[in-house]
Amino acid sequence: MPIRLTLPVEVTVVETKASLHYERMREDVAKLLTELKQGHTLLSVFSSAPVASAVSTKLKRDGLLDGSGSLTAKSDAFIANPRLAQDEEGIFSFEYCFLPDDGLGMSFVPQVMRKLSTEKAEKSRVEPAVAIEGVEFGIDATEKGYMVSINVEGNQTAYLLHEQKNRVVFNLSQGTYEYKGKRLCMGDKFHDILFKFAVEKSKELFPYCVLTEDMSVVVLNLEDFDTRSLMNGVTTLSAAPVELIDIPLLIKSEAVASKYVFLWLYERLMAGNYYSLEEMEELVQNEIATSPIIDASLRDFVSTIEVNRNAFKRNLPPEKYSKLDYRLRVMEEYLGLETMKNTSFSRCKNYSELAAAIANEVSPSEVTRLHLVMGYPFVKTRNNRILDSIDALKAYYPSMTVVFKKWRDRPNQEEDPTLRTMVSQKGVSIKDKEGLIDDFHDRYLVFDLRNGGHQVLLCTCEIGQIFKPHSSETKGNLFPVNNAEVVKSGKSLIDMIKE
Amino acid sequence: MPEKQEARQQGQPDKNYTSFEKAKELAFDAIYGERKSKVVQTAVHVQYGKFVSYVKKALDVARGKSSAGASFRIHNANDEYSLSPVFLVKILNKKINGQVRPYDPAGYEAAQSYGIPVEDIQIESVSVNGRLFPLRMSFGKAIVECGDKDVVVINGDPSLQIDRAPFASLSVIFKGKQYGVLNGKVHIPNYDDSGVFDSADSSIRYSLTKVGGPGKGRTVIEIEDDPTSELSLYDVFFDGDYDSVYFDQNRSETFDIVDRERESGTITIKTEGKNISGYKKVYVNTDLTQLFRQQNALNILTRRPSIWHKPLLTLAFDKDKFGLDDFNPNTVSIRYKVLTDMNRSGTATQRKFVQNALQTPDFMILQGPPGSGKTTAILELIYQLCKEGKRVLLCASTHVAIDNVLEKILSHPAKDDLLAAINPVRVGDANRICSDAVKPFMYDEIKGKINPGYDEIVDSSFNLVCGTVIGVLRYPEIEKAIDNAKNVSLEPMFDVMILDEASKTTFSEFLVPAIVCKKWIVVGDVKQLAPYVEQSDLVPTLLECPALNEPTKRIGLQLLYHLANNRRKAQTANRAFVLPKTTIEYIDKNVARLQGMPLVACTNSALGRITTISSDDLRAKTPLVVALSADTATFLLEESLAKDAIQYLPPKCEVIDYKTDLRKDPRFISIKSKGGFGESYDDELDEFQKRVEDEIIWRLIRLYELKEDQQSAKNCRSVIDAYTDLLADDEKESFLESMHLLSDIAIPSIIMMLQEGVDRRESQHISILTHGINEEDMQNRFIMLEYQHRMHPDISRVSRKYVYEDKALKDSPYWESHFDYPGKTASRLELRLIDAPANGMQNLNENEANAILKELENFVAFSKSHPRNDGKPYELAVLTFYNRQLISLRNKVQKLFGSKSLYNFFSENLHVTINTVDKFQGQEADVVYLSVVRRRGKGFLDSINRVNVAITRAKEKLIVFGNEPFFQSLGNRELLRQLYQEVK
Repeated sequence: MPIRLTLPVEVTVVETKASLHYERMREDVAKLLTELKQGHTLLSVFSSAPVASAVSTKLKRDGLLDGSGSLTAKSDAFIANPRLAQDEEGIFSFEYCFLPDDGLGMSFVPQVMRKLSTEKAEKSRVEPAVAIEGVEFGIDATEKGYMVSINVEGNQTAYLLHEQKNRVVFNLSQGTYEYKGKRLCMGDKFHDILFKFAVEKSKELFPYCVLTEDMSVVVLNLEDFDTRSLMNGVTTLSAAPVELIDIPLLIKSEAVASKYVFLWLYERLMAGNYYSLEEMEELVQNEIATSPIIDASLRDFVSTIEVNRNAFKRNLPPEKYSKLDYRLRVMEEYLGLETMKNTSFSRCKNYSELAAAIANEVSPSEVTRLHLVMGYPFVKTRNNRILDSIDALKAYYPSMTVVFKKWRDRPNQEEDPTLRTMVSQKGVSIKDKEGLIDDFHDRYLVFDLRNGGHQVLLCTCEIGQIFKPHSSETKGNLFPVNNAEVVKSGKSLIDMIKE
Repeated sequence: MPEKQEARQQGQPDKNYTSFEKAKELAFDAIYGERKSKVVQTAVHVQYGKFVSYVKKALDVARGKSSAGASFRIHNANDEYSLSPVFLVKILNKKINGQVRPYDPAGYEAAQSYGIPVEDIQIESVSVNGRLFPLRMSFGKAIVECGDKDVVVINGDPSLQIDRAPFASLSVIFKGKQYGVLNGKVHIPNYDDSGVFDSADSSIRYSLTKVGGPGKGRTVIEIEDDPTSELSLYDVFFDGDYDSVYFDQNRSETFDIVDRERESGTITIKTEGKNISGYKKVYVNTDLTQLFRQQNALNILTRRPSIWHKPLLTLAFDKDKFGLDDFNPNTVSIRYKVLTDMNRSGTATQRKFVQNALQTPDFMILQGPPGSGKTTAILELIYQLCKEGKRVLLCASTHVAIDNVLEKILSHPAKDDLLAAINPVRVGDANRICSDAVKPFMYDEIKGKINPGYDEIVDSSFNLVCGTVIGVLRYPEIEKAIDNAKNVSLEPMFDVMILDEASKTTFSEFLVPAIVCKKWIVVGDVKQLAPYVEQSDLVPTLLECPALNEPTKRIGLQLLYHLANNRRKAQTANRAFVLPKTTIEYIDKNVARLQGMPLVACTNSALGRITTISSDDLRAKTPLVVALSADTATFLLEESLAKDAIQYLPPKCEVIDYKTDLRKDPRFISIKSKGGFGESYDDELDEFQKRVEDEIIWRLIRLYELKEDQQSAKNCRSVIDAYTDLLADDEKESFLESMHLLSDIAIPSIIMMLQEGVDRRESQHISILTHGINEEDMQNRFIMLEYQHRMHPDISRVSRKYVYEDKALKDSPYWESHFDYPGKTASRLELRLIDAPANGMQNLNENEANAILKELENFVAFSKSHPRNDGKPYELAVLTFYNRQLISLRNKVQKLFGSKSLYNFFSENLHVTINTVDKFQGQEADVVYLSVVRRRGKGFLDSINRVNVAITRAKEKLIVFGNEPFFQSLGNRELLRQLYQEVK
């Protein structure tokens, strides 16, 4: 998802005698400090007292060891980012790049050569520009450094070589830029400047969206983006000098979020999928509310969006709604049956009641193991109360397995690894079954019976999300199904979960 | 529009600037400012240009050597034989007034002075172990084939004292063919036990014994010189500094050299089973690195100097315009770690040195006579610098000087404190270091124990990098900086360079490590040995001048020199010289400078001044041919006419050819095959084979050694003047320029340059390098250590009085003796007057060697029964000035100790070192036996510095073994004569 900024630069080569202060990556010093941290001594590392003593003096001078030879706070920071100051004096050829754009007007040095060119030039007294600090630059063919400063004595003469125009591509997402075939780091300071510049430029170039500091594009209006971008959650915008390629989209307003939810459902339905309204609500909770396109602040809001025909009508453009109208009515009439709702399960107010109702349906004394076959058992949403459901069911069915229906070719929604661990810690085994979802879209409770047989309850939503958020009202329902119904395309659910 | 085209249209010069040019401008501007920069650049170009051109020539020559391939012959190991011993025996006794008297040279001299007849005793018979030996004589001496221990009696009178000197043939004849002899060995294919004869004296016959060959895995090859080559392949293979060879163009496979013998033209190489018989040419594997580095260092200094190099540049500038910066040191508070004993004489001066050295903006010179605590002062300075976080480069010309400092750290009571501040690393070949104690500091030793991932951390932690001025350049950081410096600037990475034994380091040698340092501390003694200069390295510079740039001219000039020299002139009479045509023309052109020389030339050239006989004259036997039979004349024969001309020459005329040995005429002498030395063969011919360039260079080196001895220097200079006088006027100037270049650059030591400058001449540009640092600037930059702590006062007094003129080498009142030397003589400085063998090889004195061995045997016994109180072994050094004597001493000492060691021998409580004086500089010993060797002619012993080094090594006892007539023959200004007079 690169945010690329392609800027014109005016390259000036200044050849002069100067002192160059820069930082160099010193992985070796970091490694040594790590060894010291692990309890080694300098003497054990170097096997020579004078060498150990001299290295110690140097590390102390650099502030990486304190007076007593212990590691300092600076050494920890150094291990993480091992840059050590380096000074070098000599005759150099500095390539200055000046960014002439309004709002920039600054220089950076991408390349320093210790060998001067043979290019003809007049000698003059040149005050080289101040180069931005922290920018990585190339030294000769293979070395690299991070610029601190270039100091030229006041009266020092210099050769001012060609001034030519060029373009430099900055990858703001990676914080790098390319110069003469080298990929170099921009450094925080330079990156901040250019990113702010890119944000400002984007406002002019792309007024219908906002580039945020965390490098997302805020969607102000769905109509400004094509459906494909919206569905994928990324967009590509390009207008010189800014190129936003596959940048994540971000929805930050409830109004846009509502419209996005129904557009998303519309696309699914139009793709030939059939869901009940409850299922669609579940999709909204599990797929959309947790999607990165929805700003974190809107997740709760999205989770509570009710899916019904009116809501579609309110949020979809009329031409889209009209295409969906008939289908929605069918769903209401045939899939949203009231009778299905008014059962002993749908009347439960909490998981204890629900577990008792299930135990009433399937006698625990006959059951050797309960398999919870779910699509989003560990989804990272506050509405997921799988732990509560497990606690309640365990009172009746001590041996339980969560069977996770994983997609074969696409990632599931954001999973909370802590939740997985906690489930496991409750003595519930977990089975990740890739591809199960291809044949069995629904959720099931499969009971292994002592007599070798099985009993199956179909669950219309995730067991952890059966109660509406902050409410005792059920969102889904349970009803028994014949074992024959859990055989699809010749594949038996029961066999599959036991593989 | 393309830039170049645009520039042309604007009338700008269409010049492609090199990075060198721009870097140079910027570098000089940074140091001197834009206004002064141009002037300085010109001055640098002119003044340092001499150094640049000197190094360039040296490089050219080295490259030439490395590309010179020689044909060779593989010696069959089975063909090597040793010659049976042969002695020349003479009677030492003489008859005074008809009566045989015991051997007493002084007595004979006294008798003669009173007019009493003194006669030699004629040899009438010789018996060996009681058996009469056939009498054969050579120049009044009997030739006796016998063993070392055989009893030889002359004239049947065992009371006659005899001298028997080994006779060393230079070549022998076997079945009419001549074979070179070296070290008593000869290679003769298909030898059949019939014996061989000396090529000069056929009455001397040798029987041969087979030698074992060169050893397993080794092959001896004989180099064949190429007479058509301008470069003598013998010079390449036997004078150069290289230690391996390769064959044909196969540079990747080199063979180490085990031994080189110039005289036989043979090289023994390690072949380890590899077959080299298929190869055609052998090449020396010359290491040009040192010269490249000198060139690079000069490039850095002259093309892109750092601001830190300003003082080095200033050395070459006009002293009036560019001086060193003002330097007024303050008294700073220093916590001394080494110089802690203020009661010790000289400590205050040592501290003053440390104070000033820490503050100097550029140079500091510490001069101190032997044993005056230079190393101790250096150590304190190193400690103080390292404590301040500075990096120090410690260099010297010798390994021992470096290792002395490191050893001093290790043996110091505050060793741990010193090593907490100093992290030393010793760079160089581990086999060359002088002390095992130093081994843990060797670069490879330290790095071998460390994870390679920490290379950079460890390298940058060394704050004392030590090595010889050449060896230290192998330190990776220095190597990289200097070798990669062609296109980039170099900023010194060391804060201070300390150069010890600076009297042995030339400016060019100093400059390479100096370029990586910001300040320079030069330590040494101008009264000690001068830099060792490889003569062959200087020759190319001399040969550049038009007067000597062709071999024919050089041969001509040498012959002219002989003809012009009154003493040598006689040697040219009745001798014919086979010469190239151009040489004869050269002599004719310059002969006007000689007056009345009877010269006859046989050549087809039309000469103007010399009587000339052409090939037509020879053919037609014109009356002119008679000129060839004048036995007082000197004949110059053109190569192509020589064969025909020989028949007309006077009967005793010797024909001397400079190049080929194609003649069958018994009078013919090929100079090339006559090389070598020794008194047993013709010194006159030796003179003819000397090359003019060698003669001049040798004298230039000697002139530097004799700076303090005007009389000897005058003699040396007169020879150079004589050569100069023989040159045409248009060639003189460049000839003198070349000589000045050498005497100014290649020979003087850095410490001498800084203090006194080089050979001052009127027309010379006045800079620090030519005239030394100004007195004013010197005031705080020069410290002289006056007290010595090494020697017993008896030992120091001669040098103190005559070398240091009582200004230095003062005795410390706290000197303590550790033992009394056994023997009757109480004085710690003793002169043992040993009769010299009347005959024998030059620079070899068996009598002295025997006397030293006897003294040594006594001391070995003494040391066994009298261990030192401090538990340390006695340190005894046997020193001599000459390599040949060293070999003889070594043989004897090896037998005594039953050891094959070359330099060090150990017995109970005793460590004996044998070495030459030159190589022992910087070292000391409790007891020193010095073998003077010479019987006549002072040779290089007229160098006050050399003798000073020799007599200032001993701490407790110095015994000088020498020959009284030799001491007496020396002039009163000679240090050995002064020693003799003080001690006798």
